[in-house]
Amino acid sequence: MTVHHHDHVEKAMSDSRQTILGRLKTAERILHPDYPAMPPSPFLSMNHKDMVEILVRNLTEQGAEVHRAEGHENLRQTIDRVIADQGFSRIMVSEDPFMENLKLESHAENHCAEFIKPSDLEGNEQYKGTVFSVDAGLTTVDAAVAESGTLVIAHNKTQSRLISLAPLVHLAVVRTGTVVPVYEKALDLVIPNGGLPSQLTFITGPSMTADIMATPFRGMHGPRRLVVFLVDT
Amino acid sequence: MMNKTALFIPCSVNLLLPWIGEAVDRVLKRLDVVSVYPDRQTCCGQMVYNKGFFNEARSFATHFLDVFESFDAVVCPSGSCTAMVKHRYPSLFDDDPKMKQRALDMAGRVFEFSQYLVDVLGVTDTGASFSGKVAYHDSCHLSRDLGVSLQPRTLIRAAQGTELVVLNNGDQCCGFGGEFSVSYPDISTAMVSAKAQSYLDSGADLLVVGEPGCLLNIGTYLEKNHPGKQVLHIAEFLDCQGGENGR
Amino acid sequence: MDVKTQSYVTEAKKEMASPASRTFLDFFLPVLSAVREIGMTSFPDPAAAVERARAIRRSSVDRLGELLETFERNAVKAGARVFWAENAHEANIYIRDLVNRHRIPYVTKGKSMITEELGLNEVLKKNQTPVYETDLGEFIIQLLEKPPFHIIGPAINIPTDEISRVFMEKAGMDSASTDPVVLGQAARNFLRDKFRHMRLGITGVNMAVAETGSILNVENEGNIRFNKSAPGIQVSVMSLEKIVPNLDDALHMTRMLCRNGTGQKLTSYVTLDTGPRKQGEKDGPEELHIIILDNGRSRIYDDIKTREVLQCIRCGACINVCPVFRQIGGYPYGWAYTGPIGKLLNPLLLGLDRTRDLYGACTLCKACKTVCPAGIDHPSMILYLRNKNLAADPVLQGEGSTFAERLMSKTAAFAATRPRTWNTAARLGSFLASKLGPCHPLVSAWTLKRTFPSLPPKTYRDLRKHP
Ligand code: SF4
Repeated sequence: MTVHHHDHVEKAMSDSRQTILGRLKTAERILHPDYPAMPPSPFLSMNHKDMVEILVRNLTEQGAEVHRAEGHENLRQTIDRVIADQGFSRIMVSEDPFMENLKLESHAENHCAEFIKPSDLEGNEQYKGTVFSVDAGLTTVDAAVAESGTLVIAHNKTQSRLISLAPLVHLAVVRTGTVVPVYEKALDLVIPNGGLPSQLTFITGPSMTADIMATPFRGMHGPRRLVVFLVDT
Repeated sequence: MMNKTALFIPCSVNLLLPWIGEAVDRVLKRLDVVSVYPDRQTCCGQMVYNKGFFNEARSFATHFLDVFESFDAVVCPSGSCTAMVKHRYPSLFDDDPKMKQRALDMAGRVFEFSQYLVDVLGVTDTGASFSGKVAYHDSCHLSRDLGVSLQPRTLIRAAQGTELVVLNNGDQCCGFGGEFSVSYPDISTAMVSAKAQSYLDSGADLLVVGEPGCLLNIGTYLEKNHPGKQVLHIAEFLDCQGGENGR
Repeated sequence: MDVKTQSYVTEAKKEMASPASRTFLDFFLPVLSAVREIGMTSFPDPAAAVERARAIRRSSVDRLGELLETFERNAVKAGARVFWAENAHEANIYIRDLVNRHRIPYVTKGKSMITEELGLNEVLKKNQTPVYETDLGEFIIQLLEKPPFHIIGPAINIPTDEISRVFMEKAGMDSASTDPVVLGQAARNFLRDKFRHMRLGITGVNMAVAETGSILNVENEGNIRFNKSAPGIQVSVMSLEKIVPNLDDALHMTRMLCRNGTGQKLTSYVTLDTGPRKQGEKDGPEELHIIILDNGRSRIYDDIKTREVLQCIRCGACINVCPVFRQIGGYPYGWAYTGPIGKLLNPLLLGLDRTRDLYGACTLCKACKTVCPAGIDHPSMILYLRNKNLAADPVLQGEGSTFAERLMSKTAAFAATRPRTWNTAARLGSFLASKLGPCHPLVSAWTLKRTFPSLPPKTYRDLRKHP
């Protein structure tokens, strides 16, 4: 690209910006009244236990598998069991504090799965090559929303985007303490100070399509299976 | 009834389906409603309005108001003409506050026939009787523009010997749309044949509609393709007493 | 994208005779509408939720200029690059130059109506840059070189043997299959490799949040997530009306979009991006380019009557309930947008003179308006377009009325206030029609499948006066 060309683009752009905004801002205004009131979501007044049950129901309805566990030790065992049952041998894991704390790799006595962290990998190529080829991706979930069985993940240094997307199976750990009734509450929990992550992802069931003859097909591009470990902590 | 009630008879009824008007007369009479037919009435102007001739439509609106303004209630056996007066007239006079006010005043006093019977007169049983299964087609303007869909059903259900059955996709347009059916006959035909199919599938002996346009469209289609399958206007249906055919 | 709006009638006839389209239209559209109704019941008070949504869209559009500025400021603060394109050309050139500057070998795309509107694929093709649509439906129609059939299912009407053939020819499938699952798997395998090595991904935008400078996308397949996670450069194109004021509004509108669109409480994936990847992050784009596209919308905005169309959130509900669409499907609309919203947007963006059948072929049944969560009154706007067309509106490129049309309407308006003239003319008119009618070509099309109504001897008026 030549410098000259770049200038050209810049100029066109500031012109267009002014033209567009100029038209929008000089047009006649119609001011509308305030938003009408809406009854509050019934989820808001629900007790936590019921909320968790609804979350589980919604997750299951969408085709996610839910395994329940109590405490760290039991969670490790449950994850190990699922991994062993499925015969997964390579799994990429997120590096968030909860997952780090779980120390799966040091407890993996009963199986021979390899847990790979993104930071173990050198450079972009190796990371991508690995995340596209592992059997499953294991991540913590930052909040789980009862109203639709939705898992919320704030992506950052320790929560890479592709772990819950590129492998055919997404293993997701949900802590009951992070179960919230509605999306708005998930935001309160995940971004208490309003500082948004570069990407915030809402996952509701596995990847799917019905684009051919309206026949459902799971795992179109993302995970075919969503396995949720719901842990009481 | 002490109120002064006027009849507004749509062009389609006046010219092509006069017996619907007569049925309206008889049903109202049976209910002891004294109605007048203002002789100077012409047309609501829907045809020119729907083509996009808004200015011309104002002449129709002005004349309508001149003729009907003095009545307490105006009754019309067509949902679309009623909706034209009730909802379109006020919007025609956005630049003329005086006329707009007249149109708004009128809007509250114009009623589609079944709406008038149920909501204004408080009637449910009109004394009609028809033995058989009846399906009801929700005409677009009647159901979506005027919100009238329970009223005709209430009246049909109350008829002696009548069983109201469900019409699948009952509120889907029959494909008339005035000029639409003439400008896009193929699409219109596909739509009316879908409607006829729902009627056949419903197992009903009779289809009832509240809109003369739908009646013409569905009726002429049935006559050609499914002779013997009948469609009646709600006024004709309510006019039925004992027989199977109100005509 | 080619403009084929003028072959509406012939395309409609073709589609009505196509068994593949018929199956889909007769069966799936009613199902989609039913699913939508179920989806909406997950709101505690669906009617109140719709009212709220309409208010949000109305106020967002009302404050459009100011919100766009806020959005730009916050997006830039978060590290995104914002480019304003007044027309399709500017947007296309921007993307093409970006591709050339970074020597991008191919680009992948998430499903977006807006890039159909831009005709971006054609521009990149000319630039010798391969483009891969990654939404399954879009991928299929791209290979088949067909326009989208439906906003949610662009290829939903395509028979599986046709898909199988084109996959074997162009997408590396080894053996023929008519099993949708096998076909889906084949597309997955083919596109996965593209995701693995992609360097530039292009997406649309479902919502842009002014308060945070974020963009939001809604999808089920995961292809948009790949386009936003795997490449070094992400380009997201938004038409300028996609803006909502804040996160709360965005969440409500997202609920509405999903529940009123596919009937899902939430689609499989909803992603909210605020700036490019941050320091130390393993994935996500290093550069996030957001293109704000006008392409005629600020002109639409200028007229408060047409402005309303900018409230649309592309949920597709109006399309599924439209009785005309249910007969003819998406092809006849001839451009990026179909169904009731296409009847408004295509004419407004392309001009009234070459889209006459779009706003013409409507029975004004109001099914669209009833389900629209954005508060658009399609029938009223269709009438407005008819009016502007007759008036030869210069901005919207109206054609004007014919002499016959003027004569008819003026005569009618004259007679409307003169009962005697009116009655004589009406009698005469219907008499002539009854005599000549059946021979008239238009009327003969009507009578092909219907009888011609016979003229009763007396009008109601006569009967009433002389019973
Ligand atoms: S016009 Fe309304 S119903 Fe149609 S796609 Fe847009 S928002 Fe949905």
